[in-house]
Amino acid sequence: MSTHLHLIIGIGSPFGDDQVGWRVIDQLRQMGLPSAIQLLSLDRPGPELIEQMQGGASVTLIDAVISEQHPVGCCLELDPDQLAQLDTCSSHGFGLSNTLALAQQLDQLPTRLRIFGVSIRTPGMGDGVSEEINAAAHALAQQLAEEYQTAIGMGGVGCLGSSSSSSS
Amino acid sequence: MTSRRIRIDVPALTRVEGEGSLRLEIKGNKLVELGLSIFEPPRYFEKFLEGREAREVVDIVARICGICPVAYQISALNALESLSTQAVSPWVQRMRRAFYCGEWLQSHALHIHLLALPDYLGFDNAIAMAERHPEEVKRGLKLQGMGNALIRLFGGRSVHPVGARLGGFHHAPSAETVADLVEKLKGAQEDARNLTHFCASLPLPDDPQSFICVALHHPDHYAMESGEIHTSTGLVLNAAQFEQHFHEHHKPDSTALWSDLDGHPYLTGPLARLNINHAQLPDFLQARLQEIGFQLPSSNMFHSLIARALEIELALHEAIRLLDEYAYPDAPYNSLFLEPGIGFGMSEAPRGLLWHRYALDDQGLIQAARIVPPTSQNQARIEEDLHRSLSRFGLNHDEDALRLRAEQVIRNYDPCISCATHFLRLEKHET
Repeated sequence: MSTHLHLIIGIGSPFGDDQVGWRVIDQLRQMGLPSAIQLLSLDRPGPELIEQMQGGASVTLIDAVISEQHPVGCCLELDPDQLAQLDTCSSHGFGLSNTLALAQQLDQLPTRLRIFGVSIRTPGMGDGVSEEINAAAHALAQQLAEEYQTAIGMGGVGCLGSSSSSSS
Repeated sequence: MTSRRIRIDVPALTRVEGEGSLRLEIKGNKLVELGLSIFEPPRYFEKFLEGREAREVVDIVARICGICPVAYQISALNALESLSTQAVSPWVQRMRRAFYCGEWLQSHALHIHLLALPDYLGFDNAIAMAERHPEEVKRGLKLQGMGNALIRLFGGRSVHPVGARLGGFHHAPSAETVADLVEKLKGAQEDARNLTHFCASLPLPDDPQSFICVALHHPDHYAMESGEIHTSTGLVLNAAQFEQHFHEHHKPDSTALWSDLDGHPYLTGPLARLNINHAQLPDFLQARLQEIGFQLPSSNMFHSLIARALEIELALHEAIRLLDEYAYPDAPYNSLFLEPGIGFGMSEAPRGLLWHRYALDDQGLIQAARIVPPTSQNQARIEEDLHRSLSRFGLNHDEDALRLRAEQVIRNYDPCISCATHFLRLEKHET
């Protein structure tokens, strides 16, 4: 994998609003982004996420979070410590927060890491997502596409907004 | 008089990953109650499968477990394909074994490094352990990654793979892709060898016990994706004979079914496999047994850790052997016609024997399904082990020590990933 690649990874499961990360990736796929941006949908990868993140110059993660304090569809940009305070929608004992903590211990976090959590209530069991989550996925995809295209046009994702590095 | 009532609960994470609880009551210095409940998800899946077309089964059962979907797929395919007079091609047989090697690799590497090792190195979890032992954890993730890559090669993705189908695979990987992966697998063999030595050097408790081992045996190689049941009591059974000797029953305090072999608890999984099939290990692993001084058969359940490390070496070796001579096939599957009837199939999931039975009607629809997973088969053995191990360990230990030992005992069986990390909460009541 090229070290110039920028990875945007949607994490989710087939269950209801927990698909939000995948929906963002689906939207981005339809936008014809530059080839330097690689899009990936992962189904609850657990520690395999560490391997999947390797090699990217920057990595953006999108996952659902359960937060009673935020309305459904609210998009939160988080650092790993903030993520640990929230309940990510993982059915595995080793979820996103644990995986990033492990990556940090192993000094394997990407140099630039952005984490977006989209607030949901419960994942639900259906195939579809709620209107709020659909709208949130669309808005986040638009935001990411504009930011990445601008950043790449300006010479790199270093121009992107806040980021967390392995030293954070 | 002071008595202690110690209650240990396994919180219910989700049914997909399994949930359970352990109740342990000690009065004075006697174990007066020990009840283990581990709930397995396939019961609902058995109903989901009714009325489905046979071709749908392989994708539905892949959803039963996020850690061992390949095992569910292969056991289901073995059962359904037994209803055909046609056989899958030798290419498919070899590649299914390579596919399965990926699952053993990723599951065993995950278990050893993220679930079991913190116990023996004195850490609460793998994250804390990684600070002091980063190289060991990186090695584990590398080996797990090799397993994931193998599953992706044939399954399209490593979690709930979608590449398997009746008669073979939907697609065959290119020879170039396979060759690239083989080189990576070869590069991981030294890591696997080091892992075995590392596990063998750990101060594992010495706790010999008497138990029945059950595992598949194949005349040609170490059984994985197919074989007949062999037991340490001398039984030899095909898949259709399973229900004559293995029985499931309800316990009043559990929604899960418990299994017995003619009324007795039994072990299935890596140590049972090694105990029954160790003579079939390739020469380099026979030499490894000598190097680490590992005597088989073993009656110490704590040797399950070493057994998994040895099976990681075996899975790497087998995958390389099978893929080194890879040739792109004329067709990645045969179209099989399934006769109506009852099909039985089984394979060795990372955690042990996984048995399936399907009744297929003349419309090609599933009338009934039965799935017996390894974790429910091991439940009675785990409870028996806990009784014996905790008593031998000493019930006068404080609750932290008792909890840790109970967790270690249960983790030896790798019951499920969600349960096996931090999964015992101890409540002490003294009167």
